Amino acid sequence: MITNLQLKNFTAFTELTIDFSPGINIVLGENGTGKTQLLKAILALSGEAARGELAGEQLARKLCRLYHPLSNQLGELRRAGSRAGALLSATYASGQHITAKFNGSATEAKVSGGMGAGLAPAIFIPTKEVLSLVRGLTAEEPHLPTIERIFDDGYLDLANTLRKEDDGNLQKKTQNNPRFSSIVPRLTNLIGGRYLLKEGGFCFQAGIYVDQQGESTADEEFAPQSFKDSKISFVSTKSPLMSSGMTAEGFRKIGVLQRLLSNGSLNPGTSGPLLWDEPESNLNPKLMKDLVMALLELARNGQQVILATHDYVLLKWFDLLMDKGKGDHVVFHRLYREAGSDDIQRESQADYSIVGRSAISNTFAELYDEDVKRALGGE
Amino acid sequence: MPAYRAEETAELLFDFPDGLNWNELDKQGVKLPVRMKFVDLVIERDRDILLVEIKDPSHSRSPDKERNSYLKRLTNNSVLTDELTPKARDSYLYLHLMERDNKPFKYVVLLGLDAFDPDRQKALLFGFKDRLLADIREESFEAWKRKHIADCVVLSVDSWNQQFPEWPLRREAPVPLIAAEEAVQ
Repeated sequence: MITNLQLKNFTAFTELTIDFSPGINIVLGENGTGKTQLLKAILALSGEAARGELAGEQLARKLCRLYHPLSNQLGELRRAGSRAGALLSATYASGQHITAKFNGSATEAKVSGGMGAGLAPAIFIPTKEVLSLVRGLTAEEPHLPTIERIFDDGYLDLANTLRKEDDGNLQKKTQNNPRFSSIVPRLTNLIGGRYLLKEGGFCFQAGIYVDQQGESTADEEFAPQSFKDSKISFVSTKSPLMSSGMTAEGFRKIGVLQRLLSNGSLNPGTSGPLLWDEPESNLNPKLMKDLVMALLELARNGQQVILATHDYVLLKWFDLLMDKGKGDHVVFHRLYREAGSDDIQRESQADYSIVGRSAISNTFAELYDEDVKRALGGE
Repeated sequence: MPAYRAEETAELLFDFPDGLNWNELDKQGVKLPVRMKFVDLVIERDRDILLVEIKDPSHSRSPDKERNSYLKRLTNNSVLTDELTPKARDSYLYLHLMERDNKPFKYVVLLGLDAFDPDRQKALLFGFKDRLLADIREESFEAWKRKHIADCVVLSVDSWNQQFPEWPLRREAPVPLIAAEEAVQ
């Protein structure tokens, strides 16, 4: 769990320090205020690349693969126009601390404090849906240079994580923690089925979870995550498996979360922060409420979540569904630029009113004004 | 010209200039067609006719509880389907039968939401117009063939004054702010 991130003269940031909630963190701001860059910095610092004796070289490569600088040189990620060195620094709840520094011509970072083991890596879900790309990205003989030119490491990391086989612990976890048990069935019922890994790619099996003591009609081969001993179990319909590409993109985004939970990559309480860039993209607004409920439920079970968004509906659902009585802790981090300045500022609040001052809310006010103008404009 | 108020106890006061072609539709104390519900005001402009309906949950004598229940009815569409849409339709029908339908009708719903904080007002107004127009256009199992209301807007006191600075609107008694938190409950 990350508690603090500091970025100095790095990409869009001159100086940014941000304290994270152990629960839900929502990074909001207009386009170009560095939301995605912030998530990627956490991903890089919280992964394997930042550890070990070769951390400086590995982290440089990782940052280049995440940010795709034009020359593919680490130094280029130093903030343009800055003379001072770039710094990335993260502190974790375990007390571990990692700092990476580099200058404008660097090909390697100087990493300190990154030797500690046992830090759970972050999981990053990028804007575009990844489930249907898994087979192409992780094929046996992929043409890596081409893939890496098209997709940054955010996509490749997730594809590899999704491919991990089921860890078999879901059933145990489900039975030990009744609240957790509601998440996977809820996500499944929301999209009317689940995604299964078959021959290196994902396909969709239609069906729902039903309350059915002791019974299981799910196919053993495809249903390692069935809760056979618990009351609730997955019942597939008779329709044939579908290729994931045939299903709605919004469903595939939900499917990513479903898969991460069922293969144990996302294990609330032990896994690293879940970083999600614009969960709203390609998602039907109707699915948004359930997605927010699922994320709150994950956080209640000890999962740190850090989202970047500019979607009013998503933010509003967090505001309406968070329940302080259940221990929900949602912090809004707003990134913005002061008029006339290029520097990105941050303000953080546990109060939704911060959204009222953000561009997202202004956008709706603008829509409203334009609508009134059209209606009463006299034409 | 004296300020206009929709009812004797109403707190929202309009100052209409002399020359403006306006009249009350929902008149008190005169015979009106049976079972027709009317908007409060009709204002004729050069290119359109405004049907103005005034809803004032911020009235100083509305207890908080009543205001918040009104807010609930606003958000669950009952104010819309039970009051606002029928009023638009009956007012249109009346003006049509009176041969006063020579210009497009615009429906203006004025919500006296100033007792609620500005964020809450925006949230309420946002999307409300779309729902209202959809309801006006399709009241039964099928949509009306005629688009009897060309467009509609939902205005707050502030946005009324921005939109119609020449017809200023004011509230007679100041109203205390209700906390946003409380209004959601």
